[in-house]
Amino acid sequence: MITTLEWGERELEGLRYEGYAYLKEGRWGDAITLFKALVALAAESAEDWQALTALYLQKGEYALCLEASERALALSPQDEMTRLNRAKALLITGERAAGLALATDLLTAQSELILRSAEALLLGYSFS
Amino acid sequence: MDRISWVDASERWAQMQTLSDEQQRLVGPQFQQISKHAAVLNNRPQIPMMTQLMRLDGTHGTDLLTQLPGFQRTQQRGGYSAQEGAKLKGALSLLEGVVGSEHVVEALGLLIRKAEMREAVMVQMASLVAA
Repeated sequence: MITTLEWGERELEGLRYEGYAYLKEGRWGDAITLFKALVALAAESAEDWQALTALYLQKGEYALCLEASERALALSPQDEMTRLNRAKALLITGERAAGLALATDLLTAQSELILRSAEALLLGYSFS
Repeated sequence: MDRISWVDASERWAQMQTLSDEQQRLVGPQFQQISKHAAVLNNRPQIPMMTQLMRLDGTHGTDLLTQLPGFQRTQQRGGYSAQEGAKLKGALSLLEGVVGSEHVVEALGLLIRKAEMREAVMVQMASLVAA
């Protein structure tokens, strides 16, 4: 499809820019539309799958969040934010063991924010 | 940009208030320039303008989203120009009948609408400034 359009990275970056602009405005649905187009045009872009994962989680569309996170992690397995988002979606949808395991892995996260969020998830879901 | 007095800038800012949020976002970069010039040249407080600009810049990012790679590098953009909108329409016509292009068609439609709205607002702003 990208060949049909004779598009390159410049055009994709333009779409991505608009996607993030909608995201900053809190227009999740419009942002999702842009990122869905991006992954249709360039399925190997981890960044776009990561954005979709976060946006679906934000919208409460957990099944889609889990699907997007699988694609994102296949391309970039160590991305901590996507792993955290996936852990949240798993826990919310009742996949307790898998969610807690993923959150436990994140206790070695480089990012302080991720680390603290993982600790909070573990605290919140360990007793439920 | 031409020099602009604080009074002129304030007047334009007041005129901006007649536009909807969506319309204001589309002309945001121009609006920002106007207020910055007014502040620098006139050394006057600009709190109402800055408050308005911060609102337009969007503050909806949560932790989930602000950590995304593109969140910080993306600045506010006024949307596609009329010329870019025409290019998008060209791209859209190329996708006619292409299997699996639905998501791309939807995104291009969104951006084309935004470009058209921006163009309309720019015309409206030009007439306000000229008045």
